Amino acid sequence: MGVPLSQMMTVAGYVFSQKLKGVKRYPLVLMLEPLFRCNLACAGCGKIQYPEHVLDRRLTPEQCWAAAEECGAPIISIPGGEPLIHPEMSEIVQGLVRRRKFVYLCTNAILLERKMDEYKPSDRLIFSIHMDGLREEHDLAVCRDGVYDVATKAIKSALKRGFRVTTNTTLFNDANPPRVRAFFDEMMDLGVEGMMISPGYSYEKAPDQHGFLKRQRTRQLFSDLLGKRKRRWRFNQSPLFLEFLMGKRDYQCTPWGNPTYNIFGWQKPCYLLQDGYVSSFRELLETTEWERYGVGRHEQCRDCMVHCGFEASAVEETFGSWSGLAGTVRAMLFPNAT
Amino acid sequence: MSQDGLEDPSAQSLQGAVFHPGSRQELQRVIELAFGYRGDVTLELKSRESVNGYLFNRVWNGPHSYVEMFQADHSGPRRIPCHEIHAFHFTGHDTASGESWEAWARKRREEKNDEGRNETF
Repeated sequence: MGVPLSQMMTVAGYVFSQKLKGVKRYPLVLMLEPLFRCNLACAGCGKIQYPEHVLDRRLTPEQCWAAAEECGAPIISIPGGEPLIHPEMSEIVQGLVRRRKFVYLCTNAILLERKMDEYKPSDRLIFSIHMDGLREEHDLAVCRDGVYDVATKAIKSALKRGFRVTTNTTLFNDANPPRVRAFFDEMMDLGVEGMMISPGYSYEKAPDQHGFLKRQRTRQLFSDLLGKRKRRWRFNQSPLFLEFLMGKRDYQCTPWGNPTYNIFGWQKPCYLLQDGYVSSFRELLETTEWERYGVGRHEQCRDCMVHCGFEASAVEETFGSWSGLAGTVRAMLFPNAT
Repeated sequence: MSQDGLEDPSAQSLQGAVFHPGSRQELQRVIELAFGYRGDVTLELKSRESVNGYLFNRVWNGPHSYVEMFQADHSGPRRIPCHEIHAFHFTGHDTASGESWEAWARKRREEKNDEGRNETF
């Protein structure tokens, strides 16, 4: 099992409480982007292309905590930019953990060993390490040689010190299934708690515009990757979302499931599309024309199957019906059943 | 709309382009271009003031429509009503032009080619 029971129970309790309250649109994971500056410039990333004076700007700890409280999601994911560049990141994380949030600190791990002393192991803090494949593929994806070795060393060190560690992997159309499966083996050998995988989103602003997956190709790729799955592979995500990636299920996007807050404000409508900003989470929920977005509704959503849009849909199915719950249990116990 | 420095804005980077929108529709179109641009723009206001920075938001609300900018001198965000804008200058470097990645990819291809040549020898 890739997600600890205590975390699953917290999420389940939160979802049930939203349903009991009759809340139609509720957030599951807050995507908190405290800065856009990064120490890498990956080929498939469209998040960091800004003028210097924008890259210099950062959210304060108080802004981060206020966003977490206002949004109310039980899980906070901190991507970026590279969060470990933020001089107050450990203070931000500490404050979020104090607020009983599960915090996924997404990092390329280049600075992790140097900064690790600033953090305390907790069942609510997870270092989510960006790993896009085996050494050759990863270094190519992040456009710098040697990063894979730095990251694996940092993973070992973090595990030794008692931290929860997962990996997050973005796959593009050049992914080679046997190599990716070998990568899953290697991550399990390292001892990470679980892996997260997702197809890359076709960022308009990403430097490499040729590597993004189309919908049908995504399904084929993930069927090849996750078919005849090894029992030892643990995934830190919804089993129904994995079935969705394999083409076994069809979902519409749930963009409010992973709302995004950054230096510009609350981002409309989701983590990947930038269609404007508002100053409060309530305003985001109330003023976004949600029906304009999603597969078949918006051109830029056409090929998107990314976790930040569809994992919340999968979780909604799990807790929305007995058949969804039964399907989730079956997918967890018998992942290779057709 | 009078426009200098660019024949077809959709075909290439907007860097260096200047727009003087003449109608409300043109103003809206240029604001959308500026909103999608990943570099600084300089707004020439009808008051003759010039504001330079990153335009990160626009809100359409009839006569109350406005844009929001982080100014290049690190101040802001500043809110500017759309009807006060006279011209747009795409003055900043287009950070999404992909130049640095292309340079890296070219260097990598050359290294691979060199490795191949050395193996042949």
